[in-house]
Amino acid sequence: MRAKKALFLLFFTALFTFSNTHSSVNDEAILSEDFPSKLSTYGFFDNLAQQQPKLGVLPYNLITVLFSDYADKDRFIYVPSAKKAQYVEDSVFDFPVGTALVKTFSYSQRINDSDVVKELIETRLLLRKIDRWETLTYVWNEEQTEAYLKVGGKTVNTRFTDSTGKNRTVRYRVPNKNQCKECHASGDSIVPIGPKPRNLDKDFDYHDQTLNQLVKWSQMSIIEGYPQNVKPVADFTDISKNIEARARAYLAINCGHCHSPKGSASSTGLYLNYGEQRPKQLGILKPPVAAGRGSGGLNYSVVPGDPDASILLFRMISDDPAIMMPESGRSIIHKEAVSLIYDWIERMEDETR
Amino acid sequence: MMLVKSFLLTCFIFFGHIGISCADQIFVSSDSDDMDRFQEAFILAKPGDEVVLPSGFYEIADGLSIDVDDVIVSGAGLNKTILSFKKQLTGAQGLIVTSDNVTLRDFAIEDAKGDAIKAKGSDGIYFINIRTEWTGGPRSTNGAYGLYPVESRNVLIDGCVAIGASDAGIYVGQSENIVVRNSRAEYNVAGIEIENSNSADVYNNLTTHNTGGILIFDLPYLPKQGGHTIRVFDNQSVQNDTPNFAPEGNIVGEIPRGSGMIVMASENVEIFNNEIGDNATVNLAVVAGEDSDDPNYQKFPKRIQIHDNQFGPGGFDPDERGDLGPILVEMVSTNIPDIMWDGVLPFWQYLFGQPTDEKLVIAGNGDATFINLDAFWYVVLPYFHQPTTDINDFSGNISPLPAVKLVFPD
Repeated sequence: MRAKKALFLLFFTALFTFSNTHSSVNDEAILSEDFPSKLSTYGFFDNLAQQQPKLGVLPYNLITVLFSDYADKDRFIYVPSAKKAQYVEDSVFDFPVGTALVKTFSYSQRINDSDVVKELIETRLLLRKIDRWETLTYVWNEEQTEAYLKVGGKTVNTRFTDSTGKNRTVRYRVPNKNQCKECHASGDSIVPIGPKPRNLDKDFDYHDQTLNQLVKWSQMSIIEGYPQNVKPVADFTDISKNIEARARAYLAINCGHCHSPKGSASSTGLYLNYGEQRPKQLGILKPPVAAGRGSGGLNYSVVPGDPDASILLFRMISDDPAIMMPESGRSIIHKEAVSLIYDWIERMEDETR
Repeated sequence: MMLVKSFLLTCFIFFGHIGISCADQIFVSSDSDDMDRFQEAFILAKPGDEVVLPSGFYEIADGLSIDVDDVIVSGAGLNKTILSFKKQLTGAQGLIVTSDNVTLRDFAIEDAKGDAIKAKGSDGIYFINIRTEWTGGPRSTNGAYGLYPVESRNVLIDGCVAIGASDAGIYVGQSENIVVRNSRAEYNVAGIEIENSNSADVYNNLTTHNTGGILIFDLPYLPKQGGHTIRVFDNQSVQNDTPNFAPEGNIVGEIPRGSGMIVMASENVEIFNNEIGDNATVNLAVVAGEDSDDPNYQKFPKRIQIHDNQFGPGGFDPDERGDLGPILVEMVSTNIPDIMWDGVLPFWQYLFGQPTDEKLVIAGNGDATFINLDAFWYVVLPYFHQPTTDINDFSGNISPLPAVKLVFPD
């Protein structure tokens, strides 16, 4: 009797393990209009807490990323099998219905010489529904065992260890649903921002091999293909690269989604998206419009050669909500970027004078 | 959870071919420490719902937003439901609306760090009995705008109160189909400002104790240009006597203290039946915009009609701070007539005259005084500078502009 029971148990354990290893992502959950309340429902991960993705859920990285109060980000993409994303010039890929872009935000804190504790904060999803992209975010519980849907936003007070080894506190804001749209809006629709070919064109360590991400995505049939002449954006931290390219790459991903003709900041006339070439639209000797205190008593967005007289920089070095840019997603000053933009403006030659 | 408990379902059932529609009233609880409940209510609301804000004073740390169409957000009154952002930590506004057909009524937003209420890209945005105020009086650290619809259509501002904005109390920018009425703007730099917008009716408002009362402006470097067809009537713009407190680097920082109304670079503006008085720099000014290298910008005001206004004392103590006041005093005197035009025209019009249908028309303003500053020649060739003061040079027939009809989106 006992042996029979044990056998039974073994059988079930085996069955469970088998199904768990080989179970697939829950396509139904991705498409459902009844948004699942738990992140685990989607089945993106073999091990949720360790963020180990299932086969078919591919981790990726971007060359220059959006600054989010020094939070670390782990990105994953899932495209349903038998479907492929199409290349669109100067844009993100056109992903098929059922695609999920998954991004987990975390902070790491060094507690002693050998131990680093990683705290998962939230996992944001961009889901390609039949008629649109949907933005959802799941906030991790204290036990770090599950993340739960949160639409109204949340404050997480926590600590992290910065690149100099210093422990810092942060009042991290999980965005509410409307704030997702603030950055992801293009006209009346929601669009992904990051996975553009030019921002993906770099090597990634897939453990078994290191490979260019676009090559890997083609091999995995995530994308249909891409032109060979993709010009990768500069890594804004890479000092071997041209400063103009680094600055424009940073501004494009951190400002250009709102500051573009179709973005949330369209009314300002200041456009920092990647393709913008007109000096006035890029802020050069452009007077502020409705900046209020955000102008800091300065007359122009960018004064070539004079960073201290440039509103653009003034708003990056502020953490006052009435002044700072971006308006959401940042409460800490991004020191490295400030120094880049400072140098960029200082070395800029004034072609208009 | 707090929110769900206080849901009161009110279903309106229509029979026959209309079908069944169901509208919820979502009551935000008055006693809870969770300030995210306001935001949560705005997100959970569905088209057709009404979010009811409780009476009381609530300190909110994170800027609020509304992005659902066809909702009403109503409080218990503009002195009863007060959302204070004195301790705001995030968000560039107290409240931002980005959806269509949204009614905000009967509440107040106080001490927002940036703008109080912004509506961006809304078709159908109605502010009714709303108060926006910075409670510490006029300070350059106050937020820029009180009520701030931009890139919007079908804008109604009715029965509102705007106090203490360091730019404009009521500011409608890059919008069309606009009604601003029955409202009061005081102790702002600009009381009411209509900027780069067309089809606006501004009437039955009181603007007082601002730096400038009512501004109709067109500015360069904006996606929407060429503001036109604006009626300003039945308003009182009196005793705008607050020294300019705009933070430096803003265009309104140039407004002299004691400006009743200013029209800059706009086209087709009709100003009538207003009471304009006790404005120490100038009661009513019509001026060209600044020079710019924006090819889309036309800086000359055209077809401005000023009629049947009642002027009180004005121009008796021009603001000598800033850039504009001193120039005025130098050109005119310390006694500036009621209606002032800078006389700036495109160069060729000095030689061949101004097209008749673009001319300033001034009629039936009682014993109002007038000056054409002839500022162009003052700057270019002072020898030819000849200010004129004969108001009858600008008499003509008034062609009334059509009333604005707000279209309520489906």
